[in-house]
Amino acid sequence: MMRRMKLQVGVGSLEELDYYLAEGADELYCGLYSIPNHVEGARNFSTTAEVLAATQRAHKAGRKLFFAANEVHKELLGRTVETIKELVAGGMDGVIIKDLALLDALKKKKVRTHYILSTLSYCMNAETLAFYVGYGVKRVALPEQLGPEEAKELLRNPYGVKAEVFLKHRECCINYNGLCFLDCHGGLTTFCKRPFRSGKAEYRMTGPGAAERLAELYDYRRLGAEVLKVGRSPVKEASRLIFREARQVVELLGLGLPREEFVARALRVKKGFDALHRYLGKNL
Amino acid sequence: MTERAVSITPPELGALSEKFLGGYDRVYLGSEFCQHLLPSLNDVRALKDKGVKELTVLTPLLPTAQLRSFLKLFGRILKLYPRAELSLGDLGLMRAVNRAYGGAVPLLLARPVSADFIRMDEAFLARFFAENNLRLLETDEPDRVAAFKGRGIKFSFHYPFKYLSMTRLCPFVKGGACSRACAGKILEIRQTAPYRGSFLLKNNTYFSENSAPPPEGVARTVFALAAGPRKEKLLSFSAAARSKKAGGARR
Repeated sequence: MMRRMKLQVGVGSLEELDYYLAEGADELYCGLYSIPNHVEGARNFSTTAEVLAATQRAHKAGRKLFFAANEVHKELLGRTVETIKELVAGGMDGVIIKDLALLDALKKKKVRTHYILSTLSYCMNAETLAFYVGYGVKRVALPEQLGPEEAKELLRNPYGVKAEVFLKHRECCINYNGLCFLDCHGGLTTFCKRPFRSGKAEYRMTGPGAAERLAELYDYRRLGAEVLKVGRSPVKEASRLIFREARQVVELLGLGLPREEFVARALRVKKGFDALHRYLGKNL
Repeated sequence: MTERAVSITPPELGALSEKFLGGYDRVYLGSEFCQHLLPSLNDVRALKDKGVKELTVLTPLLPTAQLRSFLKLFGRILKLYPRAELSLGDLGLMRAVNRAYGGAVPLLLARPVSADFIRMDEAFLARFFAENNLRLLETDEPDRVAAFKGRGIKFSFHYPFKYLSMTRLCPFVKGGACSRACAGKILEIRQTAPYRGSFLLKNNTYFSENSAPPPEGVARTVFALAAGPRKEKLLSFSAAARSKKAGGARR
């Protein structure tokens, strides 16, 4: 029987941390308002003291808390390095990074922690993974745009690097999100979901359907991805719904079902949550 | 002296004359955005037959299998163009090429990955470029070039399209494999109410227009052929007018 996939979720406050600890999250991550991290409009902690208090609370529950510093901002490099040093010294379990200059600076300062390569760094192949392993990366969030078949060799890497994936039918950018300059500004209506026009016709940026995404998740798991990650939505109720759905999907994955049956049952779970998302959309 | 280059995708190659290509110091062939627009060996041969002396091969982010297959192809390209440059959008490809050729192949850091690097710490960047045999940082952001304080980095400037975003879910592919249905097409995508404005779709990539001429001080300018040669003429007039005005102001 395959080991149960771990569930990781982003939190923006101690209240959210407590909620997800009670709901069974295996790992959590958070950011600070003063340190650049991805997802515009996401909730963050205000001080390092708050983050360290959250770390202690997570440890008390036997869970891990990571810190997200996954943007590039040269003016804040020094401050980011010092903040990570302080958090690691205080017991923080790891850091999610995109900026190669930051990884390099932390390596030079001998800051030993669990380095997680952000999905925004586009580790698309085994060579890129080897490159980042040289910087001390121990885990990689797979790019949302990389299919399981393409990721096969990367997932079976010789370095023991673990992989995280997203619940892509809920959280996946149509475009390369780490390399996107479209004017998104967070919120519920992202730029790429708007209707556009090209000539006289409607133009939409479309992606694969939920069945395809769920089948991909099944394949990622079979190939060795160990963590299912739920990102931070600007709307905390939306994050909670996605987390609850992810929890049910993880349970289904653990049943060892054939691929088609897993997809069919996961789609039924999705249908129930679709109604809740619609309700949320109308009432927020 | 600023080197003048033109950037073309393989489907655009057939229609180009020797005379037209001779008007540039260098030709960029391929795509830094799409893995289906990498050149074939025949494309490179065709370029050679048209008298092109200096070649830069553009490459995008690549999954493992495509990266390996490109490495084989590049070995053959080097036999035709021993001085060929590689503009890479994938750090794994950078690692693989440096390991295979020991730093003998000149490398450039391509858009859109370069957009992260141009925002990184400048001292780190200069060291990273030196350690990894990177010669130029390719960009389409004039304000970033102007704001860059470090001296260790040289830029090549791409115009008149400014990168906005790209997708692997190609809007031109209607099921099945890529047949390069995007060739020769640039779509204007307009926003709908309450939003305003428009942008362009070329291949799998969204662009805005870089309507200003290339900034001064860049080592190389790279004109995207798809915009049409007329556009380049208009922008050179504008650049000449800007130089004249700046000269007048200095006097």
